Amino acid sequence: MTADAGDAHAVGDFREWVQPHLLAMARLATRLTSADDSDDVVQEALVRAWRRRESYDASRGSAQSWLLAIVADRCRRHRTRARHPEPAELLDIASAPASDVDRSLDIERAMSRLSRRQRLAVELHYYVGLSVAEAAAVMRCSEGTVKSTLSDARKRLLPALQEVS
Amino acid sequence: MNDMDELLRRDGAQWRATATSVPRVDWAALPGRRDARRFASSWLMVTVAGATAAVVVVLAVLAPSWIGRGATGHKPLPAPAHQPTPGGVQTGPASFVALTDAGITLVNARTGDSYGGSVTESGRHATTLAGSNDGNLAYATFTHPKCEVAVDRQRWMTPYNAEGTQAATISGAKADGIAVSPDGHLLAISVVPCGKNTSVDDLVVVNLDTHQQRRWTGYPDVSFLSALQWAPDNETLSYVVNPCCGGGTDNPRLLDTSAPGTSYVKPKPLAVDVSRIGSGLVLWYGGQFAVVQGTEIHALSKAGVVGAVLAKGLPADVVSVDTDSTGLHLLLVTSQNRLFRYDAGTLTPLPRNWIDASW
Repeated sequence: MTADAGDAHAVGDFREWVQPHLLAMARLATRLTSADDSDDVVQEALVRAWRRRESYDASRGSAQSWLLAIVADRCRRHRTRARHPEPAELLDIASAPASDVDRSLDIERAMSRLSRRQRLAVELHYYVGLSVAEAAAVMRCSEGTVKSTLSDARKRLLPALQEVS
Repeated sequence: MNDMDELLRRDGAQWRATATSVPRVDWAALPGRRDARRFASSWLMVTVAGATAAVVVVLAVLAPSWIGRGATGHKPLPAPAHQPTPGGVQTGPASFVALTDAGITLVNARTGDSYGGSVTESGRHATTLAGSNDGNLAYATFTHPKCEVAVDRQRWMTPYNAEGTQAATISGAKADGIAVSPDGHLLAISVVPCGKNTSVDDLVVVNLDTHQQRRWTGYPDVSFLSALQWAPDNETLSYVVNPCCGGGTDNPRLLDTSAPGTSYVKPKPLAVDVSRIGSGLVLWYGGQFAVVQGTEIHALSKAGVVGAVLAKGLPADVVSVDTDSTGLHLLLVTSQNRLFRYDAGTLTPLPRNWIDASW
C-alpha cells in the first residue's frame, strides 16, 4: 500500500469511528459557542482527536466522552481567542412558537449567570442529552459531582430566570 | 426546583429537535503521513477496545438490573426509608434555616413547617446559605450585577421576625459556597473571580469580629471547591477539589486556616479518591472526619484511609450535607432537591422541597 493509500485508509477508519458522535459534538459546540462557529470548532476538535488518537484509552471512557471532552476544551479556547464571553443565541426562532422563543431566550439569559462548570454540566445533561454518568465521563469528575453541580445550577437559575423574565 | 429540572428537560428536548445538522468536516485536512502510519499500527488496538466498549454498552442496555441502574445511567431514586411520624422527630435541633424562592425562612425541624416570611429584600435572591447551628442566625450570599458578593446576616428575634445586617462584602467575585465555623466567628466562602477567563474557585475566610479577610488561590487551570465544612476545632476546613474538565480525579483536602500561606492546594490531597466512592462528600460526623460512601457514612483518616461504618441508611443520591453542632444530626439534600433529616440512624423526609437548608 502506498503512503497516500495508507493515509486514506487510516482516515477512513477514523471517520467511521467518529461518525456516530458527530451530531453530539456539533450540538455541544453550538451550545458552547454559536451555530456559526460550530463547524470550525468541531473541525479543530477532530484535528486534535486525530493527532492524539493514540492516547485514547477505551478502558477509561467511551469514544463519545473522549471526543466531547476535546470539543469542550476547543470551545473554551475558541471563546478565549474570539473574546466571546458567552455563547451566542442558540434558538432557531423561525421554527419555534413565540412562547417557546420567549422561554428559551429567558433561559439563555439566565444561564449566563452560571459558572463555566455549571454551564457545561447543564449543556451536557439537558441540551446534548447525556446521562449524568456520561456527563461525568466528559467532565472527568464523579457522578456525584455532576449531580451536585446540576443541583447548584438549578438553584442559581431559578432566581436568575425570575429576574430576566 | 423540580420545576426547573422539568423546564430544562423540555427546553433541551425542544432544542435537540431543531439541532439535527451533522457538521461539514474536511477529512482531508486531518492527517500528516507520519500520523497515518502510527495510526494504522494502533488501529487494531482501538478497534478491539471499541468492540469491547460496544459489548459493554449492549449488556448495559439489555440487562440494566445487573448494574443497578437504567439504560440511561440514572440511578433510581430511593424510596423514603421512613415517613414522618405524627409530631415529628423529637431529638436534635428544633429548627433550621432554609432558602426559598422568596427569601430565607426559619423552618420547624420537627414538622418541616415553615414559620413563613421572607427576610431578604425584594428583588434580591440569595444563592447560598449557612446557618449558625442554633436557629438564631443565617448567613446568605448575594451576587450583585457589578460582580460583588454581599454576605447578609439574618438574626431571628422570634420565629416569625428577623433582622438583617450586612456581614461582609467580597469584591470582584461571585459566590459559590459558604460555611460558618462552629464557634460562629469565621465564614468560609468559595468564590469565582469575575473578569478572568477561568472558573477556578478562590477561598475566602472572613473573620466576623475583625472583618479581616484572607484569600487562598488555587490551580491555574479549571477546578473548583465543593462540600466546604469546618472542623470542630474552628481552624481546619475540609473540602473537595474537583479538577473538572482538565483530567484528574476529585479528592478531599484539609486546610489549616491558622497556618500562613495563600495556596489552598498546598495541602497534599488525601489518598482517598472520592470520585470512586460516588458521592464526593466529606463531612465531620460526630467530631471526626468522614466520607459519604453510597448510603453509608464511613470514618476517613486524615491520611485518607476509609474506615469503619459510622452511619447507615442515607438516601443514595445525596448532594449536600449539613451537620449540627454535635455533628450527629444531619440535613441531607438529594439530587432532586428533596430534603431529609438524619438523626442517629433515623431518616426522616421533610415535607417540602427547599432550594437550600442549613442547621
